Amino acid sequence: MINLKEINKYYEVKKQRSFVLKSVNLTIKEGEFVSIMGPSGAGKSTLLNIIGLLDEPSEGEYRFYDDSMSNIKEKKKVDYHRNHIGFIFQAYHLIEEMTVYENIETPLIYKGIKNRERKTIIANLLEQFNLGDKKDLFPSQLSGGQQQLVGIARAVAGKPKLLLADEPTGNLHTDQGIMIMDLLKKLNAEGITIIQVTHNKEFAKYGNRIINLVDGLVEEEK
Amino acid sequence: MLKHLKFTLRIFVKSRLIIVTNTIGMSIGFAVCILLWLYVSYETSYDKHFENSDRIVRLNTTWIEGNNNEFLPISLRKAHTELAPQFPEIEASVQVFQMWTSQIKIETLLFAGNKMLYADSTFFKVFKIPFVYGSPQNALLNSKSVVIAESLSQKVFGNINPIGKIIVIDTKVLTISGVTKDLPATSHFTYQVILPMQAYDNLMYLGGLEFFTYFLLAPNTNINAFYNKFNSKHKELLQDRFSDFNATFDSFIEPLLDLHLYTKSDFDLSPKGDVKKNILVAVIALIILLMATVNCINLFIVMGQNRIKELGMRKVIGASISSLKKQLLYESLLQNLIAIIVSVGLLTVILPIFNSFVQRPLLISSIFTLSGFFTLLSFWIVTSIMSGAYPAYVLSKSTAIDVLKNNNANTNSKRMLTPSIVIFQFAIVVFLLFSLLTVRYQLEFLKKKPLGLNLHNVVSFTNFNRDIYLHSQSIESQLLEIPEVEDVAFSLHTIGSGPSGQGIKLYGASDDAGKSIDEYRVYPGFCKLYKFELQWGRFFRPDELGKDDVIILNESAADMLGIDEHSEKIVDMFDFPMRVIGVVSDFMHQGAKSKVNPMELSCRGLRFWNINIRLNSNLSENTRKKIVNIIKEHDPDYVPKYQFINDIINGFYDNESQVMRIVGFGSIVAILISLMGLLALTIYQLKKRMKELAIRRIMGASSINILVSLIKKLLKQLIWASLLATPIALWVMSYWLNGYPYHIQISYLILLLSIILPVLLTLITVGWLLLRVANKNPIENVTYK
Ligand SMILES: Nc1ncnc2c1ncn2[C@@H]1O[C@H](COP(=O)(O)OP(=O)(O)O)[C@@H](O)[C@H]1O
Ligand SMILES: [Mg+2]
Repeated sequence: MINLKEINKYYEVKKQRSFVLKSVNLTIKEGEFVSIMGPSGAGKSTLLNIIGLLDEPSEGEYRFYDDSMSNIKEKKKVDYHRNHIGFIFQAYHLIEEMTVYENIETPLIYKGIKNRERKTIIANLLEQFNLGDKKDLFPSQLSGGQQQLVGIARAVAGKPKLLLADEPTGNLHTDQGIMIMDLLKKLNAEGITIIQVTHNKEFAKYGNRIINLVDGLVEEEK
Repeated sequence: MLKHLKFTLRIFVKSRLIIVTNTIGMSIGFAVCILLWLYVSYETSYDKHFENSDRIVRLNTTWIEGNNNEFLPISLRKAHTELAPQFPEIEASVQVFQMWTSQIKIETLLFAGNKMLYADSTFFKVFKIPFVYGSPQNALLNSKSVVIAESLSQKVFGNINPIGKIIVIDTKVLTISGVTKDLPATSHFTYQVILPMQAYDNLMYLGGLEFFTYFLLAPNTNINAFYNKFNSKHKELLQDRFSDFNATFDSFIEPLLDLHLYTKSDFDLSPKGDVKKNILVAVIALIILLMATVNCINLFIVMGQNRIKELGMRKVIGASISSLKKQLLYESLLQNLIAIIVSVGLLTVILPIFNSFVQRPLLISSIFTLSGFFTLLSFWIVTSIMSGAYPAYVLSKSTAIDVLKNNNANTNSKRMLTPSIVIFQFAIVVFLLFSLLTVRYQLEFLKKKPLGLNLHNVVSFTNFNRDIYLHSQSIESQLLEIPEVEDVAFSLHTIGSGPSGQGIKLYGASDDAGKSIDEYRVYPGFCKLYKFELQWGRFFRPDELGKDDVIILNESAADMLGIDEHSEKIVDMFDFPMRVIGVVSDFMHQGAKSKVNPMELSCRGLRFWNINIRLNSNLSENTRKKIVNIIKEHDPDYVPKYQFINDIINGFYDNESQVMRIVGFGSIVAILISLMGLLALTIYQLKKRMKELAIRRIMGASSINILVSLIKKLLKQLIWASLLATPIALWVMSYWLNGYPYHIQISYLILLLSIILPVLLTLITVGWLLLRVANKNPIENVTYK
């Protein structure tokens, strides 16, 4: 599903190339649950953003479902975001001026799903994530764990094949973190491919594969 | 759509400072533009209500003397009686003669101030004005008939059909033969009474240029061919009639629909529209709208910067750039819709003020018509696109990655317009202020300019019957008995009224040496009363009243004829010798706005139209009554009408005063709007930098340092703006000033003032804001989220 070949990412700082990712080679198959670990500043988020088409590699070849992602058109990118890739973030990044319901609904609107169908999808998600009584609240009225639940609901509402989670538990207490990880595990079992970044060794073990990223270099943990 | 609305309203509430600033600015902008539209559509709707208005034209005359062209909306009687019948293109032709307002006696009641027209019986063929009573076919056929307007009929007869009733105008007894609907205010002539041309003795036989001439042309007339043919015939007629004048003639025809705004003629049946002033009003209105729009652009960008996270997230979850642009444009549309609604409310308050200001009866209800709706719609859409497009373009480009990396503080800052917008706004403020001050000083200069005569407490009574001159001596002695009356002098013309035109040459010179000259016909004593400055010679003596062999010249006339104290002083105006007994300094009888023409004063006529009275105090009610009573003794039907000459002269500056008020209003509003924008902008920039500011202060930087750097940046922008505005302002204002024969020099002091004043105002307000923030406890700002 994901195929990275000799990916380099660098920034020109004062005419000097400072590498964030160095010849990264990585293949991820459909249905996998991959955990990426590594020290702060190692380039984990950068890697995730490249995979999620939010950032572009400086060099190298990225293939998603055998399609080359270099120089892809804006329209194509939007299409991937609508139909194939979901994101969750450490800081949740919900839209503050929208209620829980509206936050989950927005990707469905962009996807062009009709109102009635949206209603059933969201109702199911709210029930599944235990958010039924929170649907008219704004993010600022929720706890961190609840916000992350909404973040996940928003990410999976459009039925993506790939879920990218950048330190989803980073801001949460352990028990809330466990709840989130259980949820991810469940989603993976339902067929969604997941790549998560985490600092927590226990949470990393939820994945069926752990990758260490140190100074831009990938080391597979067996 | 409703979802969108709900969300957008939440965004608006969150950024309420920006939204309120924008709404105030835009609603003022919209209000002035709606006013402009109301005004322009009023001005351009003149005479459209007449049936066949596109086929009605008017004949005009050009009187050419040397370099001097006089354009007159009138022509000879023969143009109607002799020329018009020769042209099959003319379906109907009519001449109109406007009488000053006259007194109407109906039964025992007197009605003053009615507008009176004399017209041929074909009047209603050309102008198909609907009748309330009677019929247009023979309304003006009988010389003893009269047609009145519905409003007058209502006032006098109520709802009764007045056909056949008798009214007396002056001494003429007439029978009402028709009542027409009143003409709308958007007509270039108006009347309460129309009399048949035959009703006025001799009117039809007046040989001079007297008549307003209108033709209804046949459909499909070849306009240009007809104009050429008719004008050349009319020209011949004029040359023929005025062959003994040292003048040539031309003739031109203008469409009815162009008369109000574009007639070339120097005067008309109603005050002409002023295209220049309309353009000025339009420019000011658009500047205000532009200032408001520009504020919006700036503040929308700022608002967007605070929303980078939201916009970035939308992209992550599948928003395309175009859908983000749409969303941002939608917000701009909604913002401006609110502003439009507010502006309509605002209008209900300012329209009455504006109406009295431009002296037009504009109605707010005009907005609620189809064309009003479409105008508002186009204002709305155009300004929304103008204010929303650029922010939408910039903001939709912001990438999600910016958000995720948390470096939104300087997102796209290089692409932002802010500095250039501040410069642009400020340049306009400087320009407006400079114009305002220049217009103001020019006006003051004109008003203060010595006029060459003394108008202090001089009042002129007028509106008598024609025979009052028979009583001049007793009126004079009776008036002089009033203790407040210092001096009395009679005259046909008076200061501020137009002179008559004559021809003059040195006696014995050849005919083509003739020059045109203005004439005031006065009684001896007139010069003394107005305290003319005598250069040499003397004023008229009382015994010279009625004599036509003595005149007094003004300096320009003496120069023109080459007459001085020691030269030959005999001139010729009517083929007999006249002696120049004195020369007075040029006196500005039309105010300092127009150049003084060569002029001559004579005392050859006994008839007068003015009693000039110099008082030794203000005109008290008591004195006024005494004066009126004395006049009434000699003219029992006298309806008092009087005016201070100073007011008449000041009236000549009405145009300048209006320009000043328009520019003044525009500058103040524009300055307020841009200042408001600048303040909102500063507040937001500060909010963003507050944390930084606080930390720097904790680390020991003095708040002064930080303020100085911020103010320096602002100051630099203001200097650029001034550099931009200066040449434009100088050029425009010297062009304007050159339109006046007497004008001030462009003042660099004023220019400096127009720059320093707004700079100070800006620095003070922004500085005050900065100081307040900077002096807060720094800890507060560190914890500020
Ligand atoms: N625009 C940029 N210019 C220069 N360096 C950058 C830029 N963006 C990110 N970096 C650097 O890239 C490195 C990797 O960042 P990131 O992927 O966020 O690390 P991680 O998520 O592993 O903590 C960091 O050292 C960061 O300083
Ligand atoms: Mg990271």
